[in-house]
Amino acid sequence: MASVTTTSTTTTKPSYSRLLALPTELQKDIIDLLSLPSKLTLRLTCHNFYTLIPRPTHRDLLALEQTSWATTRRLYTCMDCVRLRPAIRFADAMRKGPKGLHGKEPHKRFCIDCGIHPKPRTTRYSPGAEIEVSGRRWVLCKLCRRFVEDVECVGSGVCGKCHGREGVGCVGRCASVEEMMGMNTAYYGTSRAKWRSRRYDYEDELPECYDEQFWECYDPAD
Amino acid sequence: MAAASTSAVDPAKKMIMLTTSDNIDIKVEREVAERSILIKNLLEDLGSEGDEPIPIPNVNEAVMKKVLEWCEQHRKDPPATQDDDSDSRKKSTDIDEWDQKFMQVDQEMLFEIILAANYLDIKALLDVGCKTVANMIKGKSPDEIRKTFNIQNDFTPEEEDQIRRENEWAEDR
Repeated sequence: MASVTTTSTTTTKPSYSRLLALPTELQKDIIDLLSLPSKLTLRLTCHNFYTLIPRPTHRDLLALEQTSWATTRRLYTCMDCVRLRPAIRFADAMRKGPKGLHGKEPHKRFCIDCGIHPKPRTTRYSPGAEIEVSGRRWVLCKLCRRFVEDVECVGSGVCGKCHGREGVGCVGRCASVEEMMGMNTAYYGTSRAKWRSRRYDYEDELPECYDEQFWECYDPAD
Repeated sequence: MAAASTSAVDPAKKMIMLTTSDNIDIKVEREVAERSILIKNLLEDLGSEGDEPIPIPNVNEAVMKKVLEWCEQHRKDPPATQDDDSDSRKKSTDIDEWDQKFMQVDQEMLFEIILAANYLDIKALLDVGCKTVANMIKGKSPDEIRKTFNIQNDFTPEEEDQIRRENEWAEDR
């Protein structure tokens, strides 16, 4: 009994990682005990855990975005890049209403980057789309295709620079702000009806180019 | 140990001998040692005599003593049932108070206990060990985890780049 030399209490920090030296099965047992945020954090420590812990699925992330861990960090899930992204990476319309955290279809939320550069064969934001981000209006200019926070004439779908170009945008039409607002509401009203009728006529080809999101982002009150 | 005062007839109280990897013999009551499924099966295979010392080549004396201390404390625990394997036990990282104190050892010993519990097939002790490690990971940033467990950040610059893109949420850490 006297010969019990406690080799254990002398070293506090091993020279190599005892955790990484564990058999993979035991590492997995430990990982199973962790919450998803802890798993994701452990995943970022080294190559071993990065490969051992699978990348979270869209479903995982949708569950995670409901937790206080995600809400305090204001994180939302994007369906296209399947990432948790900060709130500022999403249009306001994606964070409230049907695609909001408590909406009916949060699984259809996508971030601005994926909206502007959609995956092949998908349509997200179309040129001319104007979206609100943190209360400010941005436009994906239908002429120069830049995404800028520079909308001179709401509803024109062009950036301020292009708007000023001759023969472009609503030059000559948006004389006054009041007139402009009225005109735009009317413009969108008729256009929406037009879209609808066209959608009916060309039902099978329209989903390719029709951007539902466009209308959700458009707020005539602005 | 209290074994001296109890009657020798009770087979559970019968003393058996374990030989650790550093060739130390440890005397222990059979009931205590049988918390280890490995030892239990060995004893059954060897017959009821149990006079021969049982070699445990993967566990040294210090760790074995620690493990037996746990077995002594939990000698009366009901054996784990198969259903226990699934949800209730797995998901919670709560550890009872005695076990928490028991696990207040340095990391070297903690991992030795986990490996020994795995080898000796003591499911409940293995669970306590894994939970202790899981609790050490919880709530830490990647950098803190690396420091705690002496993990090298071995990502290539390309991987690092991809990780940064995939995990913007971790950037503020």
